[in-house]
Amino acid sequence: MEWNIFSQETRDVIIKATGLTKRYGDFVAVDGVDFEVYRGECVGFLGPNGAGKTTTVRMMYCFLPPTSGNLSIAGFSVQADDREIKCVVGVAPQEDNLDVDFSVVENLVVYARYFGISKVDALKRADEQLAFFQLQEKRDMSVEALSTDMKRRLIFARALLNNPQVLLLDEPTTGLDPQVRHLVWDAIRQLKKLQVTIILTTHYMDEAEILCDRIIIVDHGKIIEDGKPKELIKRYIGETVLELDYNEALIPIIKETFSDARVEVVGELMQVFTPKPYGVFESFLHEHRIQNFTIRKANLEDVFLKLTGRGLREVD
Amino acid sequence: MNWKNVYHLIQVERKSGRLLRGTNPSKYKENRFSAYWPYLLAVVIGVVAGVFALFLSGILPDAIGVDIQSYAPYVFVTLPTIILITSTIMGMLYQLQRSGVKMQAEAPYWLPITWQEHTLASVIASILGIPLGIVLFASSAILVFSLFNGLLLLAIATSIAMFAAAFLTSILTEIIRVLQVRSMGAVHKSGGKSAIWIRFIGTLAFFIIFYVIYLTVITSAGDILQTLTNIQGSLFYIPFIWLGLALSNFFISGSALLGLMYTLLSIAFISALYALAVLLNKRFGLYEPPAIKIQSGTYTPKTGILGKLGFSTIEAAIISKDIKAFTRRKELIPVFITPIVFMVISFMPSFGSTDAAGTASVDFLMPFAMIFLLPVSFMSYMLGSFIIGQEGQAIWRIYASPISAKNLVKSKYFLTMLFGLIILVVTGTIGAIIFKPTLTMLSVAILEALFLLFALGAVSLYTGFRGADFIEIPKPRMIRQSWMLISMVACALTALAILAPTMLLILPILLGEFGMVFPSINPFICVAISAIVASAITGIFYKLNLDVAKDFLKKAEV
Ligand SMILES: Nc1ncnc2c1ncn2[C@@H]1O[C@H](COP(=O)(O)OP(=O)(O)OP(=O)(O)O)[C@@H](O)[C@H]1O
Ligand SMILES: [Mg+2]
Repeated sequence: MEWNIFSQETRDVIIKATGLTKRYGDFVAVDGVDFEVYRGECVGFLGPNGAGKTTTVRMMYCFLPPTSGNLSIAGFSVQADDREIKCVVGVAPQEDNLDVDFSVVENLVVYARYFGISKVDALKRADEQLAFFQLQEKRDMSVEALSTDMKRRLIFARALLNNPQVLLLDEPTTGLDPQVRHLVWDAIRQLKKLQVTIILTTHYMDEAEILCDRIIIVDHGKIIEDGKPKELIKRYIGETVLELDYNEALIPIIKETFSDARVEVVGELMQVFTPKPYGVFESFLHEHRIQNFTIRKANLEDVFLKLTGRGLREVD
Repeated sequence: MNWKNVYHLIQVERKSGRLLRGTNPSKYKENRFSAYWPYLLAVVIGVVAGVFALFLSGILPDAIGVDIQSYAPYVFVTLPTIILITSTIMGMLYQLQRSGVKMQAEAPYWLPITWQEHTLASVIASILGIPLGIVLFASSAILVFSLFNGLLLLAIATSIAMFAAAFLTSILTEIIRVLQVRSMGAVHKSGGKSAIWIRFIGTLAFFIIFYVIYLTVITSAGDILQTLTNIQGSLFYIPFIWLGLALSNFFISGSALLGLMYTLLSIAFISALYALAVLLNKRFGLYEPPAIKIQSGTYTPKTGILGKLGFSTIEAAIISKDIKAFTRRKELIPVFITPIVFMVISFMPSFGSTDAAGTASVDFLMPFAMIFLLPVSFMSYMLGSFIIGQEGQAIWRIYASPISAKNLVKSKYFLTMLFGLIILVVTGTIGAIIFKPTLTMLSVAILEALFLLFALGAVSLYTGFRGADFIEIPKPRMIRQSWMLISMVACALTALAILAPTMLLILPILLGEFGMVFPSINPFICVAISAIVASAITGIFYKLNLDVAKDFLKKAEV
C-alpha cells in the first residue's frame, strides 16, 4: 500500500517471468505466464486445485526447470544461476518434508548448515525462530511427535534460516486453526516490514485480501487476472452482495429494479451484485417481503468464483 | 512524576496481585475498609504491644533485674535491618508466586505513563501487604513505648528508617522481578527455567539469612541485642545496613557526623537502586514477544574440524548430517552388516590351517586376500550406491539449498571413503593378527585394499547418482534395482582390473603347486601398475560424478 508513493519505474523488480512454461509430457501445467514482482511486495497466487501454483513456485526456487520461457529472481536466471538464487530464497513448501531422522531443532540446524552457516550460528538462528513460532517446548522432540500445525510452523521457521530476500510460501496456512493462522499472518506482516518479498499461494481468500498487496489469479496454468485486491473486487463484483433463496420469478423484477446489478445463481442460492452501497436493497426486500437474505460487502472470494467460473451460471 | 498515575497504577498492581494469589475476583469487593483494615489491626496490635512493653519496663527491673529501658535503643537501631531481612524474605516468596506468570501488565505501552511512575508504583505496591503491616506494627509499638521515657526522637527516626528499609527491599524485589522477566524473554528453551532459577536464589538467600541469625543467637545467647548492634557495626560495608548504622551512630555512640554520613549514604544508595530499577524496567521490563529476525548483509561462517581438513562449510554440513543420520536409520544396517559377514566368512576356513601362517600357499593366500579386500570392497560398493538415494524425501533440502555439484560429490565420496577406511582398519587388524603376514604382504594387501576402496567408491557413487530412488514408502528403496545390478557388475570389473597385476604375484605360487617354475616379480611393480589403473578409474569416475551431479541438481523432479 505504501508503494503508491513510488512510481512504477523506480520500483525494483525482483522476480520477472516471461513466457514461463512447464510441461509434464503433453500436459501443460504452467502455460506461458508473464508477471513481475517488486521488492518488498507481497503477492498472492490464487487458483483452484491443479491450477499450477505449486509448479510456478517450484520453478522459482529452481526445483523444477522451466520447459521454456524465462524466469529470473534477484537478477539471476533460474536456468543458469540456481545456486545464487537458492541463497536468497526461502521456501516453505506445500508438502511436509521434514526429516524424521532428526529432532525439531536438528531439522533447522541441518538445513541452515546447508547454506554454509556454521553450527553455532545455525543453533542461534534456529532457537530464535523456534521462539517466534512458539515451538521452544518441542525443541528436542522428534518431528514425528509434532501435530500438523506445528509441522507447518516448523517448515515456515525453516524457510527463514538463510535470511531470505524472497520468501516462497506455498499454502502456509492450510489445515491450521485460527490461532496458529494468526501467528503465521503476524510472521508475514513482520517480514513485510523487513522488506522481504513474499510470494504466497493460498486457498483462503480472506487471507489473500488481508495480507497481499497484489493478487495473481491463475487457472489452467494461465494468469487470468493480476491486480490489487480492492481494485479487483471493485472491477468484477462491485460493492454490495445480496444473497437470497432461489426464486425464478424474482429475477426479472431484480433486473428491472436494479439496472446496474448482476444476478447469478449458485445451486439454491441467488446472488445479486451491485456497485451501490448497502442501503440500496432495503425497499426492495421490504416490498417483496423477503425474509431469508444476507447483505454483505463484496469480497475477493466473489471475484475468484467469478473468474474461475466454478459452479456458477450467470443470468442475463 | 505524576502522583495520580502512580496511585492508579498501585491500585492496578494490588488487584492483579490478588488475582494472582487466586482470590476469587467476583467475590472481592473493593472498599476502603476491607482493603485497609489489616493495617489498622497492625497498628492496634502495635499500640497494645507498646503499652505492654511500657508496663513490663515498669515492673521487670524490680522483678528480675533486667532494665528494658536501657536495652531499648539497641533494639531500635537494629529494627531497620530486621525489617530489611524479613521483607526480603517476603518479597522473595511473593516473586516465587508470580514467577509462573509470563505476562505483565503492559500499560506503559499505551498509556502516558513514565517508567519512573511505573517503577515507583510497582515498588510501593510490593510494600503494601505484610511488609507494611510489620513496619506499622513495629513503629506504633516503639512510638507508644517511647512516649514517656525520652526515647521519642529515636523512635521516630527508627520508624522512618524502617519505612526506608521496606522501600529499599521493595526496590530490590523490583529489580529481581525485572531481571526475571528479562530472563524469560531471553531463555528460549522454556519459561520454566527462570522460575527454577528464582526459586534457587530465593531458597539460598533464605538459608543464608536464617543461618546468620541462628549463628548470632547461638554464639551470644547472653547479650543478643548488643551483639546484633555490634554485628551491624562490623558489617558497615554492606549498604543495606547503613540505615541501622545511621541510627546507632546518632543515638548510641553519639557521633552525629558519622550518623549524618550514613543517612546520606543510605539516601544515595536507595536512589541509586531506584534508578537502576527504572533503567532495568526501561530496558526489559515488559515481556516482549519475540520478533522475527532476518539479517541482511554477507555472512562469513566459522570453520570447524572438517573445515580445517579442506572441506567447505556446506560440505562439512552434509558429512556431519549423514554421519548423524546413519546412526538412526534401520535400513542402512545391512550396509554395515554385510562387510562384517564377509569378514567372518573369509577367516572361517583359515582356522583349520593356522600352521600355514606366513607361508606362500594358496590355502593361505586366498583367505588372507579376502579378509583384506572383500569387506572394504563391499562397503565401498554398497555405501556408494546407497548414499545418494538414502536421502529419501530429505533430498528436497539439498535441492532447495545452494549446494554445488562439487560440494555434493566431495562430501558423499568422502563419507564412503571414511566408512571404508574404518572397516579396513578393523578387518586389517584382525587379518594381521590371524595371518601374521610378512611386512611386504601386509603392505601390498593394504595398498590394494585402498585402491579398491577409492575406485569402487567413485564407480558406485556414479551408479548411485544415476539410479537414485527417493521413494520411502513402504520402505526406502535408495537405488533402482537395475542400477544396483549395473553397479555390481561395474564394481566387479573394476576390482578385477585393479587386482589383475597382482595375479602375477600369485602365478608363481600357483604354478609352483603344479611343479612349474616361474620367475618371481617384485611385488611393488605390480602394486604400481594397480595404482595407475585405480587412479585412472577413480579420476574418470570422479569427473563423471561431478557432471552427473550437476544434472542431478538441475532437475530436481522427485
Ligand atoms: N510431476 C508431475 N507430473 C505430472 N503432472 C504433474 C506433476 N506435478 C504436477 N502435475 C500436474 O500439474 C498441475 C498443476 O499442479 P500444481 O501442483 O502446480 O497445482 P496447484 O495449483 O499447486 O494445486 P493445489 O491447489 O492442489 O496445490 C496439476 O494438474 C498436476 O496434476
Ligand atoms: Mg499447490
